[in-house]
Amino acid sequence: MKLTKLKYCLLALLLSISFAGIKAQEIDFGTYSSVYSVTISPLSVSDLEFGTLINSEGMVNIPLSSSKVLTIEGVRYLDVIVTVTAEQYLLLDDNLACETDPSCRLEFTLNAAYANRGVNSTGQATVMTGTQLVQNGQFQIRKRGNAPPGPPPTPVYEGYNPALFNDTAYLYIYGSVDVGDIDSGAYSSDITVMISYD
Amino acid sequence: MRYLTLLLFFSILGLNKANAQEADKVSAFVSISADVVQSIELITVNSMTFGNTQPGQREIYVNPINDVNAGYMIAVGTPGAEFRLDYFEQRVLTQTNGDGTLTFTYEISANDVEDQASSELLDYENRNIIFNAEGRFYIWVGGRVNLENAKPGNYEGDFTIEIDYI
Repeated sequence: MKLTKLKYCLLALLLSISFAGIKAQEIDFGTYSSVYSVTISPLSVSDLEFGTLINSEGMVNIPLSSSKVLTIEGVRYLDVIVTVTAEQYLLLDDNLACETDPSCRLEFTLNAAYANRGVNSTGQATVMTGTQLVQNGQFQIRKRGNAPPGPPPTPVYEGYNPALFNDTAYLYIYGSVDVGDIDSGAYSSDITVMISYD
Repeated sequence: MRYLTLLLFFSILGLNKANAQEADKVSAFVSISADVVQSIELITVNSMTFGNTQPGQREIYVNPINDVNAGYMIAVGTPGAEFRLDYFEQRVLTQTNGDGTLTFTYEISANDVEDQASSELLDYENRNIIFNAEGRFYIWVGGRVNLENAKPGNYEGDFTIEIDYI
């Protein structure tokens, strides 16, 4: 009976070692994200507005310098994974039937960038990579740059306030639309931003 | 059976972790918007004409509301869209075979139906004008010129009208 228990424990230990071995040298802060919070909020009220476009005028671009700015507040030394996803078309009057009707849809190309040097500056922004509709990025809330590494993360203790270690990164969303021969009217769509700690 | 229980235990741990990470994502939404309008076209249907002036005639006046010699233009754009309309009220006409000049003062009238007689005079700066349901706006061009010191000859000049969506 004792021998069986020993085998049981040994097997459990082996499995544990095996699991730990897969992610050696990597700290998964996602495990602690119930302690470390991250928030995202718009810096200004206005949306990504292309304004008045003339029928058939072609490609119209909102540059990085005129982008919609969101702030990401989180623990400064942690990495966040950011995924920005857009719908392919802006639709006339939110009519879903226009998704398959070229006369009442406006094709959108998504761009995104981030600045993590503590300043809201498009001049310091790093352009994210991805596809026409999905842009991905992984970065520290506050870039360390050439400075020496900071102290190790503060262990969680009673009364620990992770907000004391927070900083702000800036997310820039911009893009372009291709205006063909389409019906006049109000076109709209949505972009979704998802953020989590690495 | 115990091994099976153990494996099941690890499997459940794995699932819980995946769910926790999914729940730890935060999200935000950004709206994109654009208003698409038709490009504005300005079609000249008739140019303004004066005919021959009579000896001793001191002034030419083409009334845009009721003169058949008035120029006639149609602006075409997005139905129901607001636009602004500006024009240069005074332009200098130059003599084609000499150095004489004449100052022409334009008057224009407009209507959202194709009826010159019920059109109304427009100032040289106008806002909040609206294309009709067919996306049209009708414009008649007239004006006056003083001939008292004019040298005989032919004169020509242009008329500039600017239309932009608001």
